Amino acid sequence: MAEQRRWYAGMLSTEDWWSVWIGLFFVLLGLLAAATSVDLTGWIVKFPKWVDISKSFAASHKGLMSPVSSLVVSYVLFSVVTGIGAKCMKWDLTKYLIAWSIIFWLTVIFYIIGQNGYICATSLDRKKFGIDYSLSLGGACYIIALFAGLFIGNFTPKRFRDFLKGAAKPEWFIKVAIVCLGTKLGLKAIEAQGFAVHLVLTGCCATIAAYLLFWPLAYAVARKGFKLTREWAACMASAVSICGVSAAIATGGAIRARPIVPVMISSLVVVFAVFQLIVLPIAFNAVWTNEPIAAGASLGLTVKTDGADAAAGAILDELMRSKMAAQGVHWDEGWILASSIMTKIWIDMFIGIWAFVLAVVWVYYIERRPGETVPKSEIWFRFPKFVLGYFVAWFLVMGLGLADMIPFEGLEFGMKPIEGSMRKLFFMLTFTSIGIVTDFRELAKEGLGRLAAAKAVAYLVIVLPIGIFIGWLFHHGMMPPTAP
Amino acid sequence: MRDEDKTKEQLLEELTALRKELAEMGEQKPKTKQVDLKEASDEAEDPWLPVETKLVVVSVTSGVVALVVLAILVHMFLLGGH
Repeated sequence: MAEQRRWYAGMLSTEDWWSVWIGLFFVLLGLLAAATSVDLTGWIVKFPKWVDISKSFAASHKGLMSPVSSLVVSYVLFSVVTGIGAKCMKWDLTKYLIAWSIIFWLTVIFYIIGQNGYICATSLDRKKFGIDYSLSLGGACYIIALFAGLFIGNFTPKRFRDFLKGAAKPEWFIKVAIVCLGTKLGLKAIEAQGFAVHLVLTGCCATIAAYLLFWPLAYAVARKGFKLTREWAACMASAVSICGVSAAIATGGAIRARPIVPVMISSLVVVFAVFQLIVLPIAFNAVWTNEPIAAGASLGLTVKTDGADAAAGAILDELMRSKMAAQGVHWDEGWILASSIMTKIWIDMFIGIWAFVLAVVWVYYIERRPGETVPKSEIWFRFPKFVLGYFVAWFLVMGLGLADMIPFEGLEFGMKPIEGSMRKLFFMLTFTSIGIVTDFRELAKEGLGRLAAAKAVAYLVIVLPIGIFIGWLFHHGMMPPTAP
Repeated sequence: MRDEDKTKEQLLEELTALRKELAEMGEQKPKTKQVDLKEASDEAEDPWLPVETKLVVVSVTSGVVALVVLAILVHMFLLGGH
């Protein structure tokens, strides 16, 4: 902690900050379009449900350009923007751009396949498409991208998958998508202000309660039950109870664990998150459709990476809305996803505070380093910056709309391509990337068994049941607004 | 850059490089598949301290109190409206 850092350290060199810059750049572009009625965002490619392949992708704003032009322009501009970020973060730009291109075009293919009407059309969509049957698999595109990514990450030649990992950045992509999601909540809050505020407050309360229970119980299980040493137990407790990779790394820094500790735990986190992402939305959809917001919030408390949580929320949103649509109930899109993101956002915000608390406990009580102090600035350095982008995007759109500075129709015109088409594309990139970076061989490594067992027990016995209970306790009875 | 600011990939790269370096120096062979976690369970060197009991008890107690108080407040002022 002795090393002095400026408050703005890392602004141009971390994924976290670059998700803010990229997200806010497009948000501002959308606001400019909203204010001037100049179509600055309509070029972003969207992938609607289709039965005619020629209609499988198009520009967000009809008639602005041809579908192929929209796809190419989207590829070029997103490549340029993320490439600038990669360059500033001192990644190998050529390698990044080649790997990014492969991931982008693979993702486009997975997206198109997953949006096929026979796979994902609901009973209502069938009439529109003139088809007799469909699997009604909401969120199929995400699952396809995930499994295809897992295949690449586990079965393709090592050189190829290692190369792709240069641009497979699920945490970065999802953080950009979450900043874009802030604009969606801003638009929704204009229409349903009270509900959005309730969601924020209940999410905060649920997170505080969960935080204080998850960590100490997981730590005690790791120490007492599995006899792990303090540095392993503390990092594992943070990973399983707070927010996976970033929490493990923040805790490792706070207690001065050796770098190998959070790294090994992070590899387990990623593998576990894939199981959480696949199993929990399907399980919740099967038994918990009567409490959609509680189910979404519980995902935020129990899925342990940002990417996997947002991905699971998106799947649950699609699954539950499809299921209810078949019963004639049409929930507005995105509220279940928003509830899962909201609890996760609060969890992320508290990482800084918790890392600070652990640093104080370790320095002053456990390792007793004479003369050493823990600066309060550590809270800021641990704070996840993409959360700032999320709230700025949200409050900007909501503020301008509620103050009537930009009419709602104008905001929809400028922001829809950002909060819809771009956000979903980055979600898809996240799914593909999660698959690519997940290496199931990690579980087979000798020595990780005890750690994996401790993590599994802590998760199944503590985090999952308490997370579901707290999600229900603070959100039960809340239902998404119905679609207009 | 400090360790906690680095990404997992950066840390892994550094670790691999360090192991290779050590191996070249003849001090240690690089481990490609095996991760030695024996030290992770060395309880003798890391006994449970009273401060850990305090940390766990205070945190769980605060969690239970927060759960009850916040649940009551949320039910009184927020969930009643839905």
